[in-house]
Amino acid sequence: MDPISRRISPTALTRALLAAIVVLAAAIYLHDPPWVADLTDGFRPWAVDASGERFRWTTGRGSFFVPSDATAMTLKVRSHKRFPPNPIAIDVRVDDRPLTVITLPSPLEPDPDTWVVTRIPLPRGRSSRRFRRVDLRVRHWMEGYHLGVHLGEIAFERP
Amino acid sequence: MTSVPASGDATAPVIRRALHYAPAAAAALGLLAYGSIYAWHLSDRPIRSDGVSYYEYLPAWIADGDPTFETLALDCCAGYDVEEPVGIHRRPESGRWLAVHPMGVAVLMLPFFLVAHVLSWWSNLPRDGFSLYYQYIVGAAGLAYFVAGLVVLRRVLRLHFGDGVVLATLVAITFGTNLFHYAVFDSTFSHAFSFFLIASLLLLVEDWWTAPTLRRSIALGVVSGLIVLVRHTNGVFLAIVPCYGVSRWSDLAANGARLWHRRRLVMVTMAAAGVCVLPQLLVYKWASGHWIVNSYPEGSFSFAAPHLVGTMFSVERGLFFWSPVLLLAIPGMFVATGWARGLVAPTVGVLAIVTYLMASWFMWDLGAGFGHRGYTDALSLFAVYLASVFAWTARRPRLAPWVAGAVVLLVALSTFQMWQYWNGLVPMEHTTWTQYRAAFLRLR
Repeated sequence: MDPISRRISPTALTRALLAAIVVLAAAIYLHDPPWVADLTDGFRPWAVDASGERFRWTTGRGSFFVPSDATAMTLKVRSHKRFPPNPIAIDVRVDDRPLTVITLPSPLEPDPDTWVVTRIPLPRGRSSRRFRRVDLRVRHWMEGYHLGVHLGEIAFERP
Repeated sequence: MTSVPASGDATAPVIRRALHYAPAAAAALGLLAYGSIYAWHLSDRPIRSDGVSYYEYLPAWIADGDPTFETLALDCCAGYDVEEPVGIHRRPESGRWLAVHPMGVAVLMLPFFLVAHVLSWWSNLPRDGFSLYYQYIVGAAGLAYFVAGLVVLRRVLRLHFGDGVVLATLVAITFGTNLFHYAVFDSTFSHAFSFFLIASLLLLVEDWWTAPTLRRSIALGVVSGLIVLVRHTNGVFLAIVPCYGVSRWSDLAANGARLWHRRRLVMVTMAAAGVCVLPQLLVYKWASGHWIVNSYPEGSFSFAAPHLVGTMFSVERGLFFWSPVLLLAIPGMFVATGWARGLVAPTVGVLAIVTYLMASWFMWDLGAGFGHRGYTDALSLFAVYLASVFAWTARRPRLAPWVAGAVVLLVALSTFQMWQYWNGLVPMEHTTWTQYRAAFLRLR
């Protein structure tokens, strides 16, 4: 028996192997978990406006996931608040890469309660994952209070 | 100081095995409760309320790479239903951000944060410090330190008491008080962390006085520093170190002489503690220009009008009202022998100062919470005297069933009231006698 075999008992080896298999299986599963499709982060609960449209208030940053084969997404945002500071910048990133910046209010849609609808083409990613993460960063402050913006339902285009 | 395990505690193998597995069983129950709380939406997320300000050093330092909290503040407010940065305030002197709570809990949470950070990267989840993995992995840190605290407390108590007594004490202290609540429900608050640290202090102080070594001196210093770093007022507990074994004034002089004799190791301990506390002092200096500040903007101490009765006995938040089993620790101090007897004076002194400090704080009930959470940190001290009274009772067969019955009832009552609190049947704060009576033993 070699020195290593003498030091490690068969039971300990079996346990270590089982632990390694469990960790490996968990790692494979968690690399591309299917449940992220419904996962969002940094948004307040869904609400419905007077016209029956669903929206969520953002906080300073929020994330959601889109299918990785989506070729474009359409974001509907509005500031809702009628007072300054303006403009409000919404920085959009996909998988940590800058995508675009949406500015509110749009010069064409100065009413803060009108949705600013932006279609954003999604560059083809190299990821093997089923979903890509989209991060929004919203800077909308007034006298020390963070206001956020309304984010409406998100639409994707798939091939 | 000699210590003798309680006689009359002839340990059956089943008790020895139960004690062996007690921390593992507590961990399993804790995980079950922790999962149930969020599966049944009894609370919205683990990192919340005070837990945010204890924790947010880590998102700021590691996730944002911005220890000034400016990025964290600009990205306000991590999905929380607020419009101002949570748990940090701009200091008027400098305009810089300062967290309401010190950084000790964040330091202890670091391994859990790093696991969540790496997993978030691996799963492509937001690495903002507040997304899914951070919430539930960092949220489990309190549970982990609670279990570690039980392991340490078991070790301390087994040196001086029989297995049956130790097992009964661990069960009573876990479920007869609010300890389990702060391990699983408000697990990101500081109390489970402090429970672990003060149990560790008890173990280390005994080791250090028995056989001081360089390693033990450093360990004692690190634990002492962390106790202060987690909750500054808990620095009071460090009085146990010089007062260890003091029963008379002459003992104090003798301890002083022994400390002088081992002054080099004392310096090592103090230096280790100082290194641990230094980062917090630097943060205070940077943010306010002062080495020591009151980081709590809402209020301060009012030493002339302490709420002593409220703190200890009130229905609103009294320690003994919500954890009545702890009343047994009082006779425990009178019947304690050996090592536990030598800890009576320092324990009484420390608890008296802690009580006076808490009772003088502008928010003497410490806001929302189950039972008086200010005492959760000190539960390992109470455990010594619960064990003393259990050991004393075990030697009196006629009395033992009555005491055991009373303890079982009191522990069951506390556990049930904890469940009521989780389910909103007991108010989170300002409970009145009328509300208490209306909710008493109610299931819905």
